[in-house]
Amino acid sequence: MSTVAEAGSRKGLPALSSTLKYLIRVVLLGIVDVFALLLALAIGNDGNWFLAIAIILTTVIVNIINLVPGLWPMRWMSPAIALLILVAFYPLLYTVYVSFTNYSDGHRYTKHEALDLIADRKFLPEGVVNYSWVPFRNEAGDYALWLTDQEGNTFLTAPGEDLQEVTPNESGSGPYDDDGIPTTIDGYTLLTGGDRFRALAELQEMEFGTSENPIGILNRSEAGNFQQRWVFDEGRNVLTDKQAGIEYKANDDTGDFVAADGSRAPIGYWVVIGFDNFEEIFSSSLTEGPLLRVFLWTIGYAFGGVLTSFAMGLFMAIMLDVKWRGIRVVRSLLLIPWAIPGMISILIWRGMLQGASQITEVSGIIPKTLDDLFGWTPAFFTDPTWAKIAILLVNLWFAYPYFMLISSGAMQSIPSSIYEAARVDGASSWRQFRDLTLPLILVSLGPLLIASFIFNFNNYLLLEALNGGGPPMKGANVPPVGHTDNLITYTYRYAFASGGTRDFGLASAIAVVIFFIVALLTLAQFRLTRRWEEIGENV
Amino acid sequence: MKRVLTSLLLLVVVVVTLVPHTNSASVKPAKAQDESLLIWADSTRTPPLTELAAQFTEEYGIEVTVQEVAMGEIRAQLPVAGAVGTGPDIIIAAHDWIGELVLNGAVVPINLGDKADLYTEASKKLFTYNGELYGVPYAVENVAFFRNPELVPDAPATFDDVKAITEELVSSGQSSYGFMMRDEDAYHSYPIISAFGGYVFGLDENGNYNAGDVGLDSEGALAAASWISEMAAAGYFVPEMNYDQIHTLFETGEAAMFITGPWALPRIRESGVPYAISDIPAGPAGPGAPFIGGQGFMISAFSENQLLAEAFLLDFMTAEEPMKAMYDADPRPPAFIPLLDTLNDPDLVAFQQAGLAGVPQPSIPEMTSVWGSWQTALQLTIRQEQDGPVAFTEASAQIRELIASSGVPTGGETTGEGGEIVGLPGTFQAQLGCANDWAPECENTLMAVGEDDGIWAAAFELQPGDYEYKVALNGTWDENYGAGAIPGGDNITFSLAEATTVVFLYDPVSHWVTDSVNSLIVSAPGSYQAALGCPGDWAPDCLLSWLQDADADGIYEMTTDKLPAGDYEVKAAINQTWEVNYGADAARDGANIPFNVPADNTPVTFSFDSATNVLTVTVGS
Repeated sequence: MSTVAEAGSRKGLPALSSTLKYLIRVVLLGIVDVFALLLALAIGNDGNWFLAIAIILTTVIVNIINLVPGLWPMRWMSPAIALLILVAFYPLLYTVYVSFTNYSDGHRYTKHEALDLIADRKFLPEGVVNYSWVPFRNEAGDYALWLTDQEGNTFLTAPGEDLQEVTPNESGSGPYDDDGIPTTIDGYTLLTGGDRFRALAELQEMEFGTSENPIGILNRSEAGNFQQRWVFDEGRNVLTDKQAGIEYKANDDTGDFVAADGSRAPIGYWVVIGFDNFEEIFSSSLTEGPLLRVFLWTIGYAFGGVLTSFAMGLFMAIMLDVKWRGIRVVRSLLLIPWAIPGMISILIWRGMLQGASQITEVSGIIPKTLDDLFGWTPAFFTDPTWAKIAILLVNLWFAYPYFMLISSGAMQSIPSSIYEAARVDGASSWRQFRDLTLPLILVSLGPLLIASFIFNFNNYLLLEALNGGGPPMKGANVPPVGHTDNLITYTYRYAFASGGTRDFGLASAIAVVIFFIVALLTLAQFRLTRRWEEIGENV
Repeated sequence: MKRVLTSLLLLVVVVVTLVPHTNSASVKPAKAQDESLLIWADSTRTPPLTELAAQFTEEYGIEVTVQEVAMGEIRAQLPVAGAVGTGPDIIIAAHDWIGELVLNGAVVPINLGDKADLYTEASKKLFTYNGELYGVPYAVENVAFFRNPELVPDAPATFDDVKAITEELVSSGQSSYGFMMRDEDAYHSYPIISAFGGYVFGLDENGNYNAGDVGLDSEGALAAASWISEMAAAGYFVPEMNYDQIHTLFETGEAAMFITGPWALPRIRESGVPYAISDIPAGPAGPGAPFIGGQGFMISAFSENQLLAEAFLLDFMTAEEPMKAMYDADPRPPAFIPLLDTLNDPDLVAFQQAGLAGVPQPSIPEMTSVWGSWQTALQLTIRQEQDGPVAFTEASAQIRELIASSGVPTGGETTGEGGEIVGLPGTFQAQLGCANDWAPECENTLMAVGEDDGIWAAAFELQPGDYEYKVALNGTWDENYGAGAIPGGDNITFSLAEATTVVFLYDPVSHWVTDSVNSLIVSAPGSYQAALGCPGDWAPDCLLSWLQDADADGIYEMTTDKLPAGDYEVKAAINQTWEVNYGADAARDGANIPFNVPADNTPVTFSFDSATNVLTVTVGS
């Protein structure tokens, strides 16, 4: 028999309970499947088949894990696996996919959606009469339109019936209102107020008149024989603007409809364009001039940020490693910067650092104090070097409590016997720190340092919120670049904040490239930490 | 295995019993198809609209829901939510979103019909894009010149006066600051730039903004930049001021003059500081023009109820009471004339007066390329890190490149099939964002190779001036051609009297390089072109039938021996379009010129005399 029964009996559980548990599991799984299926169907209906398929695949994997006996040990992890697939792998793969498309403003829909969207546009061919209209309805609920042409001639029309010229005070019409429109005519009653508003949804889809002379409603003020402006010929792959008489050939490589003179139809669609986005990254101005400086600062900030805050955190941890009554209170207080939401403290720091020395009455507390004491203050926001120092300072404020916390934890795990041995050997406390404490805590903190490095490498919030990447670099850089922009803030500006429109394809391509850079750096650092581990093994 | 199969069977049973059987209906997005409207508005406009919506529902029995969405999100989410059917029918919008929303096909034109006369001309103009109205305006706003009448009794007439008054106030110690401006606010600096004759985008012949004509380094803009530089150098401006600080300085009487908009009125009134609002002072080019911005309603292209939405806006909202409710919640100068007439607020009148000289804030999508660079130039100027004119010249080069990189596709690859690239080193390169002139490797001036014809082409908008250039292959001077298709030949020269888009063409076979100033771009579209390898016949843009004039004698020629025997027709076309074309007897738009190729591969020569416009076809050698 199966492993379950065996496992059950090993634990001494009765067989019946095992079957019951199994039934419950299947029912629970069924409920999960139903919700997943409904979600996938709803999302698929909205046109996002990628996500729908991802959800279904995830559900299948969760089912397999829970139903195949050999995979049971993984079943408690299945929610985590499902989340991992949906919120980590799926966005990652989707980003890679988008990076190969031209998805951007002007190319946001599929060809089908784009054509659908402009299929509603209508125009009035030359020589066709444009009427103003008011709606009528009879007791049977049939609609009719009262039409007035430019010359003031009036007509009545119903679906399937040709226009009937009506002269005022004709028999069959009731009293006329102030606009010269009869309140009743031929059994139809003029719709006003709420009746009129409620009829509009229906009216906008209706066709009046005969098939030879159809009358449709274009908008609140116009009705007539309006025709579809944009007609797509599937066979020739050509979109025609009937109003202007221009043919736009669909270019399925770029997702545009292009006319013979090179002009484009006012809508495009998204298509897979291969490596074009990556080519643009490596051939465009992005790789010229400031990119190296931005890259160096990105690395500098990531390393500098980790280094300073780790040093500070470690120092504080050692300082606070004393036996004293209030030490726990002090330690808790020191954690406050870490606990306050980043955005809030960044804005506070922004206020504290702001201000030039000449206007003391509105400047921040730090420049003001420095100015009072020394008669000089650094320009924390406008001087390139000081702007970088300001960023590192604020970063230090955020990050040191974390390092203090993990450092003191790591230090607890070092056996005190080693220190006794060292003391016996006559090692100074500096020597003890350098040769024992530091290498031993680096073994356990190495991966955390790398994680912090990666976090800083991709830190958008601090750089954008503190100084917006400023101060600006001189020169005609595209996009405008600041001295404290890192790769992320810079590329955000490149793909979204400037250049006219949002280019999601390009942004995704840049994200993919940055992903590879971070991956390479991380790999290199793991090599480095392996050496620390060797030290750890030798202790 | 058996166990797994039982499980699967069980699972199927469970799933089938649990899934609702009215499957397709239940998963459709819950967007109401029937008569109801959804409005997206920001936090200030949601309360009055919610009240008005309730009123409408009560009166007419149609449900109108107002959803609060942040201003920036309305703009970004409309195409996203609309496409999946959960978007609004009506949005609150700023007029300068139109370009982007139209580009995404997200809004539809509106016909104001009999209500058109109730809205100010200026407001309707703001919401008009490519000749069509895309919104129902309800408010129009612009900045004006504020002064403290105790310090500055009379409104300064010119910016030179502003400078003189500032000098006097500061040197006499009457106030700490005279005229103040922020270094990170391009929008408020536009009136100064326009007073000196500068502009952001020039206008095309239809009066629309032309993204090809960036004017932040025009003579006037540079003069304005100099003025700002001088003020900054004299220490009258303070770098790093934020919105609050500059307003506080004015409200405490420490600053005497600044430029701001109607949104500042509540706090200035509350502060009790004496203030007066007047027109923007003039400069050498006349009165300073503030940007005029508009707020209004737009109708989503994704809406199922566009007719109802239009009726709601024009038959319900277009009345004094709803417009007053909107005004009370967010007092911006109304665009609705009957309300404007009853308000009678002297401050609003002063703003309106200042707005008479104004220009619509550009709503073309390219405008988003402008703000960042412009602000950077302003910062560098006010922080005195760069001289104003230099900063503005660099910013303009930046903007041009941004627009070029985001705009119309160049029509092809800048790398040929063999990996070759073709550059245009010349004296216009610095202007186009290159590091310096005569740089064969500069990417901004690379030519693009035509997909079908193999002819390299490039088009650049150039400022007036005299220019020289050559063509150089593969980013070096090793292989280059000058006038007359001669390797290492003389520079080709041309001059422009006004800003012009110049087309450059290079034939990799004959090595002839030319531009649309020095020579005509003549092609011979005809029924033979497909045989040459063009994508179709009668294609004036296919440069496989490009007539060249390397010796500059005014006779443009091309010879081919690729035609199979048969009868053909041909015409001559200028500038690769049908707009100017010549047929038989040199007649413009004349009849097709027939010719016969007696045997396959007989050489055929087309020659066009630019003096007489005669196209001659010679068959045989």
